[in-house]
This record gives sequence, C-alpha cells and structure tokens, in this order.
Amino acid sequence: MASAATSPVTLPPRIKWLLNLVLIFHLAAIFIPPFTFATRTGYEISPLAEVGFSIVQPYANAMFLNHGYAFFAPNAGPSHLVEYEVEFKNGEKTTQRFPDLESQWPRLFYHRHLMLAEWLHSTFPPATTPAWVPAEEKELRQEIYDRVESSFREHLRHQYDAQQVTLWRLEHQLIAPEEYLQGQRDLHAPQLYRVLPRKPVQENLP
Amino acid sequence: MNRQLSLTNWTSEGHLGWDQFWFTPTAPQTFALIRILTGVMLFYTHLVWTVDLEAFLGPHSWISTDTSRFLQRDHYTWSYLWYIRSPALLWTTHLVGLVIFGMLTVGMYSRITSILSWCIAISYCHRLEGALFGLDQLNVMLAMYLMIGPSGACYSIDRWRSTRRKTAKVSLPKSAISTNIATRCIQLHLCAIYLFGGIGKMRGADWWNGSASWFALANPEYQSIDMTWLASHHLILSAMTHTTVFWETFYCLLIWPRLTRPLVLLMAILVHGGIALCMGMITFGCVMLIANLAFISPHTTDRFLSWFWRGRAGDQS
Repeated sequence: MASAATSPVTLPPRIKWLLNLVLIFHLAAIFIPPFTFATRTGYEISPLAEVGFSIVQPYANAMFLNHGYAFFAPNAGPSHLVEYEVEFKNGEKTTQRFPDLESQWPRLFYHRHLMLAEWLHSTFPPATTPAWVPAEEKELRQEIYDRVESSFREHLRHQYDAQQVTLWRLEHQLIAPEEYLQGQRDLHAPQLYRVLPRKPVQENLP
Repeated sequence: MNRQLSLTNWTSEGHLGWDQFWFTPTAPQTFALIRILTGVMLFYTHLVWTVDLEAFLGPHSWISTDTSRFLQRDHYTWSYLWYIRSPALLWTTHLVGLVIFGMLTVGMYSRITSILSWCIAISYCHRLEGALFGLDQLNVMLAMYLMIGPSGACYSIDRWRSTRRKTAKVSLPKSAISTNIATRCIQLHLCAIYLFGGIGKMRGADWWNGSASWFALANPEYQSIDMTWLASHHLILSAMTHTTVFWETFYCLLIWPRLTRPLVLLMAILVHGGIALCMGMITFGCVMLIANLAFISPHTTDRFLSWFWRGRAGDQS
C-alpha cells in the first residue's frame, strides 16, 4: 500500500496490546465460521472447529460474520422454487410459482424471492438422520421448517385475501451439456420440474 | 547460541512486520472511494426493498417477526425492525435509512453516518434471514470497516466543508492508522471469503470434472445472458471451472506480491463481471469488485480519479 508514511507509528504499549488483541479476535471471528462450515459433513463437525466456533459465535453472530461463503458450492446444483395453490373464499383456485422473472423486477427483487424459495428448501429436514443425533435436534429442524413454511403460507393468504394456501417445493433440474447437444434445448421444459415430497402437502398436490 | 540468535531475529522481524502491516498510516483516497461505492450499494440494496416493503417487513411479511425472532433466538443478534409493527413507522424508518445511506455516499457527517449505516444494514440482515445472499454479507462487511477509518477524509462533503472553512492553503488528506487497519481488515476478510469459496467448491465433483461453469450458466433461475452456446466448447467450460477454483483458493496468497496482484485483480474483474452480466447478479458482482478495491493503492486511486474528473471536465468544456 502506498502511503505518505512508510514506517509504523509508535503507539502507547497498552493501546497497542489492546488493539492487537481486538484484531486477533476479530480475525478469528472472520476465519472460524467458514472453517467450521467447511468441516461439517451432515450432522458431524470437526471437534476443533466446534470449540473455536463456540468461542467466536456470539461476536460472529452479532456482527453478521457467521457465513460459509460457499457460493455455488459444493456443486452448482438445481434451483428450488415454491409453487402454491390459493383457494379463495368463493371457492375459486389459482396456482402460482415464485420466483417469477416476469413479475418480479428489478432483478435484485426477483433474487430476494429466489433466495426465499431456496431457503425454504434448505430448512427441510433430511429424510434420515444418524441414530446418535438427539431427538431435540431433529424436532428443532422440523420446527424451523414448519415455522418458515407457515410464515410463507400466512403471507400468501393475506396477500390474496384467500381462504387457504397450500404450498410445495419444486426442484428445477438442470440439463447436462451432452443432453443439450442431443437436442434438449428447452431449459424450462415441464419434465425438468420435480415436486419434492412432504407428507402433509403431498396430499394436496394438483 | 546461533540458533537462539536467529530465533530472536525471526521474532523481532515478525513483530516489526506485524506492526508495519497494521500500524503504518495510509492515505484515505481508496478508502473514501470504497465509502462512495458502498454507500451506493447500500442505498440501492435497501431501495429495492421499497418495491414491496410490507411484504418483507410488514406485519404479514414472508418471514414474520415471530419467525425471525425464533430463528435468531440465542444468537446474540438484534434488529430494531423486530419492534416496528406500524406500517407508517416502518416506512418512516425505511426512508430515514435511505437518507442516511445517501449521506454516507456523499460523505456528509461520515463518522456518524458510517456507524448508523452499519446499524441499519445489520438490522435488515438480522430481520430478513432467508431473503439474503452474498451481497448482504459483503454490504455489512464493508459498512463495518467504514466505521473504523475516516472514510469522509476526502471525496466528501465533510472534506469540502472543512477546506472551505480554512483560509490557508488546502492541505492534502491526512494518512491515518485507522484507515490502514480498516483497509487491512477488508483485505484479509476478502482473502477468507475467497479461500473458503474455493475450499467449498473443492468438495464438489462438478468443480473437479469441469462441468460446474456449465451448470451455473445454464441455470435458468440465474441466467441473464444465454451462454448455452458454450455447450459444445468443453475446453472453455472446464478451463473456466478450474480457473475459478484455483483463483479463489489461491487468491489469499497471490494477491499480496506486486507481481501477481494485477493478474489476480484482472481475474476478479472477469469472474465477477461474468457473474454480473451472465448470471443476473449485478449487485453481487459489483460489491465483490468494490471490496477488491482495497488492494488498490491510494496513490493509484487518486491518479485515476484525477484523470477521470479531468476527462469529465474536458467533455463538458
């Protein structure tokens, strides 16, 4: 870095020590959360990362530093959308989907809806969990999903002044380059959309 | 004895290196440019919530206040938006927030507005979990470091007002340790982001077999420019994939030497420019490039902006 002065300023020792400690702790809070995220495999986590994370977690959470930075990782996989059926008070029904590029503009506004749909999918509890995972943790995962889904449904019910809203997750599968070259050019072909299971919702699927 | 001496030398050199890295005063030009661009990003990012503010923050929002608080319980987080129930108050605080971001951008009361901007940005993030992505992480990161240094020391209304008050010859903006600490924090934070971005990709088969770039470009939910013509160009796709992984992983090493820094920054422009143009994430691409400015020296920033404004003045005359 070019600067007017090229040598460090001499600070009072106590201030310098304090500054050093703050800097080291802050750097730890930058590096440990993504490290912890990287060591996670399913429910398992590196014990070392877990200890480090427990130290920096309050600060990292409060300062919004608790991120994995795994953009398009580990794989640039399929997108997840939300489809919902609105049942009005007069009995009429309509089915919609979000995110929707046609109606959601500007692009960042569309992207917010894409993130909501992806988030709902990410909170969905896995079908199987190892036996050693405490029951409370499994219940918590289910509760998080239920709360998020219920919040989405309540929002949509209010938005449409509807009697009832049913929603389900959709996976928009991607086409491999080989399939594309073999003539499957439509990235929005109906067969690429797969309804993801969830028992209570599954019964209401169209 | 010799071993003890070399260990002492090594320790004192390390100590000096640490001091030089953190406590050498730095001129504020680059930091001030980051303030302007971050201010614009914060303003635009929050302006977009205005499109349907109540759907995201109102009483019947996508993520209700109760859900948000449940998700953030025991997380040591806080958001003033949790306590706002009235739509009128919500709109008022939102508009005040936009004004503060505007003031930060132009450098008006920068010391205060930088702190307020961070408080506002982080409150939105803690309230809106689920609707966020990398853009928000970077916005808050930059806002956090803008609080540390004198971001309004130049290219600002603060600077203009202080020079107007002085009758003496206008002095150059002062170098400061706090500017250096803030800039160093942005640099190291960016290194962590890229390192773990690279490590995350290394866990995926698609990033190793060379197909990840295709799947990112052929994802209809992200696509903003049709790049599927690359389907038959396997070498280009795999080169893009592997280059991205290696560039991200080794960014934290290659950004420091003067020899490799321009190349690494050029790659940043290509990668983030590509994401912005082809994958519809203009804001994310821009904010990553803004953070990368931390590696541009204040002297270079000053020269570039002087040239830019001279050019603009020439256009107008």
